[in-house]
Amino acid sequence: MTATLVLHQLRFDIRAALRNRRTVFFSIALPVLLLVVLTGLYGDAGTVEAIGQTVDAQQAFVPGIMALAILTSSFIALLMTVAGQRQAGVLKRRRATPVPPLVLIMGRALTSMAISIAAVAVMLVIAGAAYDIKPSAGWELPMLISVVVASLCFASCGYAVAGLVTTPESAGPIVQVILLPLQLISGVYFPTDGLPDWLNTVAALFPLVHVTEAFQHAMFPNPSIPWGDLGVMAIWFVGAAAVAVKTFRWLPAR
Amino acid sequence: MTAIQVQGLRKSYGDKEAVRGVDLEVRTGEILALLGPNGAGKTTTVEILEGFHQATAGEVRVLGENPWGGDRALRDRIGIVLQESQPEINLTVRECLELYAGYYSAPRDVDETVALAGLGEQADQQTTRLSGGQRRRLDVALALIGDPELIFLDEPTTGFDPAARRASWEVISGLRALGTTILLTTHYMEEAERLADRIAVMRDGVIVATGTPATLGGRNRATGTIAFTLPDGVELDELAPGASLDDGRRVVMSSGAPTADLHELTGRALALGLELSDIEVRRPTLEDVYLELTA
Repeated sequence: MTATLVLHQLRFDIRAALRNRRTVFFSIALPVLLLVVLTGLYGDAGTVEAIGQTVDAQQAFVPGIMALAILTSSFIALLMTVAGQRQAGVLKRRRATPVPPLVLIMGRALTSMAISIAAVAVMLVIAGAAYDIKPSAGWELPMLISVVVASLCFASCGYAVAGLVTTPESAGPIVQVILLPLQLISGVYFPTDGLPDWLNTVAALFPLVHVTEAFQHAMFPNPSIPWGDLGVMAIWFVGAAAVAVKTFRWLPAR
Repeated sequence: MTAIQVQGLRKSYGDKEAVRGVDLEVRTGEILALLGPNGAGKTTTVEILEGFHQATAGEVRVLGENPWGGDRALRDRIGIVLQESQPEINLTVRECLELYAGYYSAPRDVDETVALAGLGEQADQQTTRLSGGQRRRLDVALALIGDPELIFLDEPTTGFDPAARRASWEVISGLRALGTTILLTTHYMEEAERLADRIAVMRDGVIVATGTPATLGGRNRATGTIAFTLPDGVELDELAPGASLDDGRRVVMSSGAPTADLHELTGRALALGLELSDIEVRRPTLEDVYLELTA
């Protein structure tokens, strides 16, 4: 019965998210734009090293852009939506109804997952059709598992940060200050093999580089399920969920 | 039958006590209006009854259950219009109602609810394009969609123009006809007088008076006033000995027995051949009583 209710919630959450121009732009349009720009930029950059493989530079950054798309749709969009709904009293009104809170939490998290899957699918199609960047045989399962786990991990982080801030406005600057440097050291825009070791060590503590690497495992030759990276994401999922359980509030700050 | 039973309710925030011993009963099927100035503790009291906050002390029963703890079965039977809430965004009015209908075990029909709240014209509009009054009607519609036995309306018509307010009263009166119990808070005396079966007045965290709109605060027994303009060429003592002139030639007499006083006054006026064309007899308005109770 709860599963039916989650599907019910998901139906409306997805509809609302697809009508949110910011979400659609930052989760799908912007990553596609980056894909086009970076493909041009790395057009004849030769090869790079990543996860122990030597690959074409053009091919190497596609996983990073996928990671960025998931970061946006599952972390930022969820955080902004949930913090906004709380501030507007929408969460409070929903909690006045008999709907179990878990239904609301899962509805929005699965919405993010659906958009993440859509964003990755769009990029796969464009990368393949326009630039002939295609994953090798056996990529499907590693790709699907990576999207699902990465999306759950970031959604959990989104709820944790939503618990720590009071309004979407207060979340924005904090998030950007953390995320921009993190993106630069996590192989989102360019490979990290040129970075100093200590920066790679710092990056490895956070989930983003592991999401990038998980997609590299799926996209590069000889695809494999990246258990190590998935493990780090799982740890972040659990840790963030624990923070969210402790800090998340349904009522607006008074 | 009681829908809400409150005894000795207290609520503290830090060292500030917002509610300081409230006793209140709302009977099944009645509309009770809770009045009081800002900061009197109305919203805190109502939000405890709605299950949003835990009482610091006291006994609270809503439809026989303790609202704190969020029991689903209880929430299935109540509807809430919050004092402040914005609509769900990126959904139409109908979609909002469909979403909320899914939360309840036996919801009211969506189209029926749209019509009941007077949103028929706006059913397929995005919520963000609704006017302020229409948004408030959507709030009411969302409170009705679960077909509740008990509805909380926290200042449902604040900010409405007079026509919209009257339209809302129609909706609320319609709910009474369906047998729904309603706890209403409002700042508008006319609203309380029109809608409420009983009124409770709150001040500084306690209920200071309870009664029907006609009898609240001894209103029915209170001293009334008789007022008229003194016609030209007449001395006040000839017409109303002992009365005093207001500014100009307006006479205002307080009267504990208006029938007798009026009889005497008009008798003198007739004897003198005078017409008191603007005479009025006034008993204290609900607002007069309210202001006295909350002063």
